[in-house]
Amino acid sequence: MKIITSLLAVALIIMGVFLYTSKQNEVALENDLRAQYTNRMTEASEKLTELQKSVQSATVFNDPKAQAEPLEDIWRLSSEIKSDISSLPLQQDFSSEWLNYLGRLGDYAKLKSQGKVPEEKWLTVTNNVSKNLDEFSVEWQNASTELLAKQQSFSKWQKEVKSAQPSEKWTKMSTTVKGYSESDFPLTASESDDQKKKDLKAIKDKPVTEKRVVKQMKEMFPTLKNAKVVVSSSKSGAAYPFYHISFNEGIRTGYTDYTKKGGQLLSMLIERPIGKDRIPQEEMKEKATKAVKKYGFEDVELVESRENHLVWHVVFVRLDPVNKARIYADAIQLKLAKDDGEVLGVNTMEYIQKETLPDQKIVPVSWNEYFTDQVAIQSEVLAYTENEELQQRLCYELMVLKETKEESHTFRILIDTETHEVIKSEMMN
Amino acid sequence: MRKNKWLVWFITLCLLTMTLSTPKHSEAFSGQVIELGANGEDVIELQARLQYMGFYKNQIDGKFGYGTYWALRNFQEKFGLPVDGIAGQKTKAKLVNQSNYNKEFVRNQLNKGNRFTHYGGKPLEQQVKKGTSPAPKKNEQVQLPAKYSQQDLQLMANAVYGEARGEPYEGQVAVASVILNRVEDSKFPNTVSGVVFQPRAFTAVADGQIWLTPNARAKEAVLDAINGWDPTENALYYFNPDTATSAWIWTRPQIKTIGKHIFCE
Repeated sequence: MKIITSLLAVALIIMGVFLYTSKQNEVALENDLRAQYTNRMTEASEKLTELQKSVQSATVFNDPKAQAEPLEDIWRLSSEIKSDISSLPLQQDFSSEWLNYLGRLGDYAKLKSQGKVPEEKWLTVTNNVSKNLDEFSVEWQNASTELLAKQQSFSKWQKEVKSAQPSEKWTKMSTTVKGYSESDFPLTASESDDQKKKDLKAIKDKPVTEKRVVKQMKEMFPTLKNAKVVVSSSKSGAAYPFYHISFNEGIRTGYTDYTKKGGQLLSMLIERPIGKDRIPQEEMKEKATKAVKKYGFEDVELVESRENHLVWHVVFVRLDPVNKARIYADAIQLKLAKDDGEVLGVNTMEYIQKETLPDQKIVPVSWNEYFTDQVAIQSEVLAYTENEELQQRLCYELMVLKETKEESHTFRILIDTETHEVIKSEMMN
Repeated sequence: MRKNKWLVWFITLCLLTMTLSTPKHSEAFSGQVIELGANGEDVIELQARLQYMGFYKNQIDGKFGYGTYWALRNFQEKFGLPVDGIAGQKTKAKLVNQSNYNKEFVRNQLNKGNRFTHYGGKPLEQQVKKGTSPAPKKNEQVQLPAKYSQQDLQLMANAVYGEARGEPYEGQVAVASVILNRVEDSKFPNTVSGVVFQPRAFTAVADGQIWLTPNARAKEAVLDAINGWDPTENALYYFNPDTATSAWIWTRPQIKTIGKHIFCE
């Protein structure tokens, strides 16, 4: 009995020590987190004050050189506040709207610094922004101070942010900021077009039946001709209606999505084990090219292929029928098995949302003057790509090689054919 | 008997001719034709041989990128071969004749994760800089579109495994797509890590399941999403209707259901 009592006492002591240590660890972690959140929240508040000042300063100067610094500050501060806000546990709707507003403000300042916003428009917008930021900062200070005060009881804050019903204050702030975004930075024509494209608004084809798309799927992908399928429809909130087909055929399982209007293939993926055989790269490319033609995409060119350990990922882009320029926004992706080249995936989302292309001048450039003598242009083709304002621009697509004694780097640079502005510059692997 | 002797001589002669005429490369390179986009052992040998002769200056990593492509073209030009940046049999044979390849050294360094070069005319042991982390295993090496990094892939694979390991493959690609859709959307942080670690964005971050080691299937799913597949048709949110506690999430316009998740705008 004595032994049992002693053993129980020892066990209780050990458990007590364990519980105490765990609690201490929990408190330490809570304190760390509380410190981090407080720091971020305070930083966000301080930067908001700086941002207000920078917005004011940017409306004071007319001289582009004097305006450069406040514009740079707006861009930097909005980006930094975004980072602070996104790392804080705030009400989701509020965070989203505030991140959106800050992003738009930063982008606008960047466009202004590039001379792409007329002075008059800039003044109108920034005067509004300035007024809205002043109003908002009062609300923010109140709400954040209250939240920080709640940290006296950290669990209270945690409870509030996890609550299914967010507090009224934050919901109101979220609505206010949403209103600011709509009034200060309404969607531009290009953004609106971009959204329409994303929502497949251009598809005017007649609706097709479920039976027809299943038949179409089996014809497009013969390995699935005996597949068992389950077809469902998109939910009512989808921007465009589509059929979702889940299939299973022996070792293959996967899905395909087809638009209800016109029965256009959106995407397909097959999952199956990959054998140890390997087909040559050339054969894979032939199979990929044959496949896209069979699916009805005749106007495309293979521009990229990437070998990974089980599959190949291949990219095709549409070619402009007139100038044969590559249209990168109208791409098709294919996934092929390395063992036999079977098509395991097709993605045509971007291709079926065809771009409207501008009628644009091609002004010749002297590349010797444009680039330093450290680089050599290896190839030049025409291509369409999107600029920061979401407009398609015709570009010179250059592969540029920069070689030193130690290493070499390849850049893919897209330069506007009319303005000679660099739209995109990527360092290639 | 005499006839048989002639036959033996003839067969021996044929075998000898065949042995001599078989290019040296068959012992090293595989018979595959490789070009831009390829990945693997043949590319490692190609890079090492091109570096041996000073044509290739970048890291030997087995990925046939542009560095390898221009180096190969320069080699082809110098040796009077058709300049196409494709390593076919003739190019490979010429490379084998003109260079040395110390396979053991190269493999050894790659396995140890060392930074090294394979230039000719300099002792190999002097061309090794010891690394701090092991190089990825052969089957973990992946080629990504230019705008994504290996860290993005790893972090997304962790998130997908933590969030959706019990889901069908399509459901795993879908979770990865939501992360990428958020990166592109102005209402969210614009990096993969910013999106994944946004407070309360993913359950797997809150409950620590993000730190589980992802399996190959989760990585494959992320790779498909990074390469353009989006089974969610542009969703920004998803939730499990059986476990979701937020009333707000039910207010989002729903797009489709995959496995146990409903995907929304």
